[in-house]
Amino acid sequence: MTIAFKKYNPGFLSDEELVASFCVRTSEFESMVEMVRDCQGSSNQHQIVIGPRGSGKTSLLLRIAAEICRDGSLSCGFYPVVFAEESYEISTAGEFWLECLSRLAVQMPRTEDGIDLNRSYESLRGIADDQTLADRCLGAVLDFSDRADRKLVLFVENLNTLFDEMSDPHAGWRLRKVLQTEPRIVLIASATRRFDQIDNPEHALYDLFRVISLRPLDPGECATLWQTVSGREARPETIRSLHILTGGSPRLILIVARFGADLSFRELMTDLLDLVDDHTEYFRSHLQALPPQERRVYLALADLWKPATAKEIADRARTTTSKCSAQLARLAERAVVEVAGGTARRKQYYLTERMYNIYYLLRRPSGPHRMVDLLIRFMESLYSPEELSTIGLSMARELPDLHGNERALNEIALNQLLLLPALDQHRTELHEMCPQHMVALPHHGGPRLTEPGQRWSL
Amino acid sequence: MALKKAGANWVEGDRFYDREAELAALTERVRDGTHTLLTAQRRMGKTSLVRELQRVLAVRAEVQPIFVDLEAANNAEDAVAEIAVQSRHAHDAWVRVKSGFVNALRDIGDRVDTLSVSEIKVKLRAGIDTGNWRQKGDEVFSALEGHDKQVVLAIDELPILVNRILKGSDYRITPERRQAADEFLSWLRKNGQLHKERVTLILSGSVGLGPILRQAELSAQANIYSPYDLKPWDHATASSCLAELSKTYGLNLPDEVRDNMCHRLRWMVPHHVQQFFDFLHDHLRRHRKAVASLGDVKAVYFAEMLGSRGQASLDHYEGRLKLVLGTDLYEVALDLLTEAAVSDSGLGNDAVARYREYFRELDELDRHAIKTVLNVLEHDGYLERSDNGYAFLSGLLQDWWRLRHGGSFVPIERR
Repeated sequence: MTIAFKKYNPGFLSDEELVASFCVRTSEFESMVEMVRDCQGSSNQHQIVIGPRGSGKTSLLLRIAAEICRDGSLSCGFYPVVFAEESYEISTAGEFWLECLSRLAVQMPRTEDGIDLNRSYESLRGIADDQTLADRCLGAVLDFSDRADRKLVLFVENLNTLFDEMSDPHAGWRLRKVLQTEPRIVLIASATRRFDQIDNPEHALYDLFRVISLRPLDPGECATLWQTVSGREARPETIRSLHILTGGSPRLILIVARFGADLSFRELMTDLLDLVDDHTEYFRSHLQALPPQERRVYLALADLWKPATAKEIADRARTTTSKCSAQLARLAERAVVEVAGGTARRKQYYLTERMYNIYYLLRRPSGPHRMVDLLIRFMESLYSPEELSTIGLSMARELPDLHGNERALNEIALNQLLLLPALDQHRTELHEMCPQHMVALPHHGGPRLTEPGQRWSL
Repeated sequence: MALKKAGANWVEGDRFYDREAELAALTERVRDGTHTLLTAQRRMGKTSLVRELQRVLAVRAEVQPIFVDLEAANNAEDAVAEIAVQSRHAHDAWVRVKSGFVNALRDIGDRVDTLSVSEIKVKLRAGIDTGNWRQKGDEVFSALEGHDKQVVLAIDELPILVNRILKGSDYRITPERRQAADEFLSWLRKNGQLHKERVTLILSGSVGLGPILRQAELSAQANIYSPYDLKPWDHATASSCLAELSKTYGLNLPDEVRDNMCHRLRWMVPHHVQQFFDFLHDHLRRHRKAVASLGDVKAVYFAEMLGSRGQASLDHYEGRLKLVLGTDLYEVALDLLTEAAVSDSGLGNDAVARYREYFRELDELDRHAIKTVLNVLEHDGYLERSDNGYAFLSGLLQDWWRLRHGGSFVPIERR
């Protein structure tokens, strides 16, 4: 069976496709569904999933929504209301409930007993007073719940961003009140990071949610996801390389696994560059938000790419180990850096946002070499010499059609591929296929990604 | 009934555990007509206890429970509207309340009881303004007094509303705001006294009312409420709660595992016990295990309870100290607590004496500063006193405090 994946937007998958492709984060899924199932009384337990971009939040939330529809014992008591992934229109409590009504109207334009939710939405959206808007929209939403005789489970993505953009300072408290006192509403939210509204005791959403943190996938989970997407089993050394390459980020594993299934190297690089393009603004703001000393340590760790000790990071950041450790502790507290293992005395750290690492390395003059090097090592562990040779030939054939940075990246990759001992027997043939200037390239020199107009330039 | 895991919200029914003694004590207070201010550290289960009390009382049909949550209220007018709309649970009283709002409800006539709560509230709120909220509020209380049963009016999150009236959105106390808070509390106090025989108040909140009133020098407004301090579970209750939960979810938590969990927590705040179980359950599920070991408990304690997920729920301990003590005394508290957290023997009497000398030489702090701070730390449940000095009550808080502040801390004897 072909299993469909949408690397950025699992929202485009049908319920069946979503269920078929959902193979990791299963313990989190079971735990969260169990909590929904237990929402039987007048007090509901709300949950929030926290994880960096690409860690599988959307898939997890949508999988739970699908389960509510599929499982008869859940669907008779609950009805999922899935908000759009980016709810930019919401800046007040009234608009939150208006959006909720709007989503209900999309999912169920006309109820069985003839209520036209679109008309309700249209008639309420003109209300100017926010308190009235909130009360009327919430009333309409609860009315739907009563008629359906089911609790509504709201799935709200990026709650941190939503609250960052709220203009109403009391919106959080008004939302809290509903969540604490209204038995017909259950909220399941996601956030890319912990944020003040849930962490600061003076803010409204503090201590309101059961928090589920999405960790990087472990090697076993990487293997499961790899096999589900690529349809092929991988050897332990391949999985080790995959884990190092992707840092256990499901989105990156999806991209690489699709390459393992049927993509060309060119398509793989295009996907990675698209990923960087899509997140450039996010990465920039993420970096700018860090205080200078922490940023220095953060960038040193990004430069190292792999999990590293405080001493290694301190050396790269040109600071002392004790100062570096203090900064790392702060970064870890804010969950932008994670402890990746090592020992109690020699902890290893890595960037929580693995995609940021790709973004950062692609922008460094020598950075792409390090990333491509890991990619090539991963390919070496995955493919036989013959397959590598085929990939190399395909890359060489595609080169003349490529331009700019895309070409530069592919040249770096091909150049490093040619150096693999496994390709000893195929090197002459590959050299003949390569453009003339590449044959003389030094091992770690070659094309630079500094041309004007580069697609990920800032 | 199988005990279910609690999340972060208040609990009831199959999630509510124990507290029989507290329920009995509060029931007795209700029968005596005693107004109660329920006090406790955050997450001790105040709201859950009040909700459970209301449920039990409703089942026995002795009194008419009314629960009002002021979390979303911004001012006295909102609070009166909220109390008014919740009085619909008391039929006799509701008829009178509606007659007091006849103009606000005139366009809906007899349909009022077919509307949703939020719609009724919109209508009632429209009839209340800055000029008439006291009169409207008095009418609501009079209506409640006339109900055929004694009314138990539980007001949750009153401190949040008072804080909001006092500090506005810029968190500054101004004379006008102080006056507004004073007027609201006076009004509540007056009605509490006036209708004492028929309307019993139970006030609670996720933050303490006392520190907020002290800041604004309004403590006298709370003196008609008799405090009831909700304590943590004892070891046996916490352990049996863990046993019940493990039974519900098909897990095996041997005695030594449960003892170890309680030993690590030491001060068994119900939410912390439940949270510890939830983390352990997730950990076991991830590792496809049904039997927990001491190793599992240790791993979960350090990675989760003391990790970023668990830490957030302890942040309020620090914030609360800043609020109560102010910046200068908070610095003193920080030193004393960190000394108690890092030292094997806690904060000994010798260390206290040294700190007294240290701060006397270092600052222009009041000579009673150390005593004041230790009183607050003892009273608010951070430290407990023994013959040898002071030690943390909560093992979890001690470990958290050590991790947070102990890194580069220099104990007093090495300064």
